[in-house]
Amino acid sequence: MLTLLILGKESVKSENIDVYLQPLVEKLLELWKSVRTLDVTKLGDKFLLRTICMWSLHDYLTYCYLLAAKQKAIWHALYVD
Amino acid sequence: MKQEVDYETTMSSMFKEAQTPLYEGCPNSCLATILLLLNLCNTHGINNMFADEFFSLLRLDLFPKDNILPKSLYEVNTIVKWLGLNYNLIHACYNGCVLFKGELKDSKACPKCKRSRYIERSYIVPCKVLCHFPLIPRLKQMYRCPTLVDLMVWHNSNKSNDGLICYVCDSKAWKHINTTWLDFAKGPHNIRLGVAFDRVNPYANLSTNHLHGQSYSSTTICHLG
Repeated sequence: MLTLLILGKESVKSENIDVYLQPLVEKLLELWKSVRTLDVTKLGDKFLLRTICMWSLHDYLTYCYLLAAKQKAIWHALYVD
Repeated sequence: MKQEVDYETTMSSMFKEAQTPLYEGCPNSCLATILLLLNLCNTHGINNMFADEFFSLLRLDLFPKDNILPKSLYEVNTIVKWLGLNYNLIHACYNGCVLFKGELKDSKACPKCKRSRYIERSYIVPCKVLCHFPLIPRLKQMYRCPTLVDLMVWHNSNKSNDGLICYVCDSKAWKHINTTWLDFAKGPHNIRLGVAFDRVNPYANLSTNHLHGQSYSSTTICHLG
């Protein structure tokens, strides 16, 4: 499921990735608190749907962005590991 | 809450309306026909003007007189919109300082870097746009399809018995979540998500220099069960 599409080749950096992720995080927080949903298999059965964000999958570059840390330091740490 | 109720009632009334056949004796419903036609238009990159006239031609001339097909693309879009698969466009500062939503909805320049929201010599065209595809209606849709519901709760009854990891629900992270949040683990409907972030070039074989040398960054949600 695609959730965000950000325009621009070099637009996402470690300083501003949090700005772009705002709408997504808002929705994820709402989903963690629970959302009323209708289950079609049990007719008329409403339940509270909750979700959790369990994993994140990225390349190393985005991993650095998300950690909002200096790229070189992370690369170094990764090599040492 | 009010929006939620509106959404549910509109959905159910719309489904009832859309389940009626296109005309008397037609095997397809109106909604199915609309979706098939829209899919066809989309696959072949047909422009809006053609699609608009195509729908009116079908409605007025080709189908029997008692058909209920919408007569313009606008009417088709208003029906499809209620399926909850639309997206929002959010304007952003060129340097990525802020998003123009909430309090900053009507402001014309970025409060941090003072750069204009719109491109030079324009009051309409924004510098940068963020496409946000709302997550909640999409997840709700998954519980509206009977075959998908079975797959959504599949993980609950298919855990590995022999200690081998056969699926993500046998993994360490999954078990950690189940032991940490017991309430969460109780509901088989609850969803675990994975976030992936990557860059895409939407122009497939075309040059990346297309459209002012810009490509897109995208965030994707993987649904794990």
